[in-house]
Amino acid sequence: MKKLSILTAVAVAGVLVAVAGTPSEAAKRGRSSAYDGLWSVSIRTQAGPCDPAYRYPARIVGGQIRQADNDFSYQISGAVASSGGIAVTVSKGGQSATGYGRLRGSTGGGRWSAGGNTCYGTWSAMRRASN
Amino acid sequence: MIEMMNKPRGRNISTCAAALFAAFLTLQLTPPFAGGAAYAQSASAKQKSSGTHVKPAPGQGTPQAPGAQAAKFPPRTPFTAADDAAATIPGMPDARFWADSETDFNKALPAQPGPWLILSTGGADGAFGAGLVTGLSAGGHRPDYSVVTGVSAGALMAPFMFAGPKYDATLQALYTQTSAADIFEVGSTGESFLDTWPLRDLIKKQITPELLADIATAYKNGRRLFVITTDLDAERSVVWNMGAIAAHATDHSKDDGGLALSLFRSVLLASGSIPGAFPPVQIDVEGGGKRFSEMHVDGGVGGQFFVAPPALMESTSGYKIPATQLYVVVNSGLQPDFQVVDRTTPSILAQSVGMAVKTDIRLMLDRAFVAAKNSGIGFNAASIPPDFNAPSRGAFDPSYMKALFQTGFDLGKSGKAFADRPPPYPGGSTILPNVSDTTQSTDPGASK
Repeated sequence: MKKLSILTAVAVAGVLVAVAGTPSEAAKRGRSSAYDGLWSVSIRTQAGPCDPAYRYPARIVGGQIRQADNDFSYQISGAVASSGGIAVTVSKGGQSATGYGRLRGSTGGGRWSAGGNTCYGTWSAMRRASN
Repeated sequence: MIEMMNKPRGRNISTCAAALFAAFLTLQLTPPFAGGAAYAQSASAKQKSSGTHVKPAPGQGTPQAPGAQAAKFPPRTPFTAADDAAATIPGMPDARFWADSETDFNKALPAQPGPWLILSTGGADGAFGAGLVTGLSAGGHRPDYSVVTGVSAGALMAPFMFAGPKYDATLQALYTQTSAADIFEVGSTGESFLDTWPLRDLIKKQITPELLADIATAYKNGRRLFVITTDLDAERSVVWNMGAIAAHATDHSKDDGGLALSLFRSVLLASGSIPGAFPPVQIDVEGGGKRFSEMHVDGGVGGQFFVAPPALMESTSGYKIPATQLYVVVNSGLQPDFQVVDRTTPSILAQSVGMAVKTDIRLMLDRAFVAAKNSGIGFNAASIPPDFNAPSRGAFDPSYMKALFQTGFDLGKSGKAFADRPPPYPGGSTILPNVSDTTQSTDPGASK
């Protein structure tokens, strides 16, 4: 079975940015957020022809996501609320994925889906460093 | 150690070094977040405009050239080949020896011969070996191995197998519940294209003081556990005497600060650290009157499994392996794996290197077979059956690994896991092999 790799990539990226998103109020004011730091995000696929699991780094600065590993071949938008709630969309090549969830302290988790629910699953995150 | 090439086919290319050269190239040519999944992308989707995966320096938004990443590491302490040749682990002179040293090898062996268990490389396909040995336990076919050797994936399972059936449940969990997220994080470290801090944490969690105490006890009773890494500086394989290290770790009067426990874990990580894909492991040593760090990588670079120093394994050596039986568990399939190869660099490399690894294993098996016959002992080999074809959805797919574990388990439990000669080549010779009946397997667990 051919995997939907681009969707996987987009979905994964979606989860990456699920810990950040569009500029938060803190970011707009150039201040740090409670969630700033280096995070590690584990993505698990529950259904669909995407990879079963992968782990990716992500960096949050001022409440905004910064890809820990620079790659600008996809676009991200979303937000991390001061409550920790997150919603994010990632797009690449006309495809997109969305992630929802919540951060609490130095951990977090939620759900993701891609390509009209072609693939979906869960994600969890842990903060590995505060800066 | 890993298999990043997510080919839409039944079985992973198993063996470490080979597949991983292709793996890091995949990551080099694809967006980092795409990971293994990128393998199935079209060539146009894979190729970045630069053709190279680069990472910015901290605080900078502009990507650097890959070579600039070396600056993030402090310079290595200089040392010479003579320094390295004489280097030892401070406080643990019996911790290791060069794999090409016949004298040191013979000195490290048990006083009494017994069955030897040899565990090969294999990455996620290590689930086969884990299942097989667990199945041997369940079927009452598992002897007490006097020597256990492990390389890469084989190294990661070897401590549990050496310590006995008490750890079968741990072994099963490790090889049926572990996913790629538990092994690595995508993203360049400057020394590799993936970071293995998750695997380091996993090893730390699983290699417990209790396990080391059991290994130390077995060592003191004369059994031996050897793990192989590659000293990349020296371009030589190193045999780590893990029982001796465990004995140091459990001697609290000497092992201040848990250095031996830390070394034990580092050796396991190093043995599975495929160069390019996983970062090498620095090991602190003392030699030539100075302290420095050696760079160790996957033991599979020096051979897919280890029985004895290469010179002793030569068909003309006359060496007698001091064992009663030789059991070689190959965590790989050895049959050709048909694939219409994509016209992409990773696909071409993956298929080519996968074939090369199988060829290497077959040659090594043949050499081990001859050495066993020359020694007058039984030869027993098991590899993933040709008819195993469970699909793999990606690197370390738990569903795939569960299926492979079960296949190994069923074989082990049946008592027919091992053949008394290397697997035949496809379309093999019609000339009957000349095998002496006097060296047929007699131990339980070996098929006739």
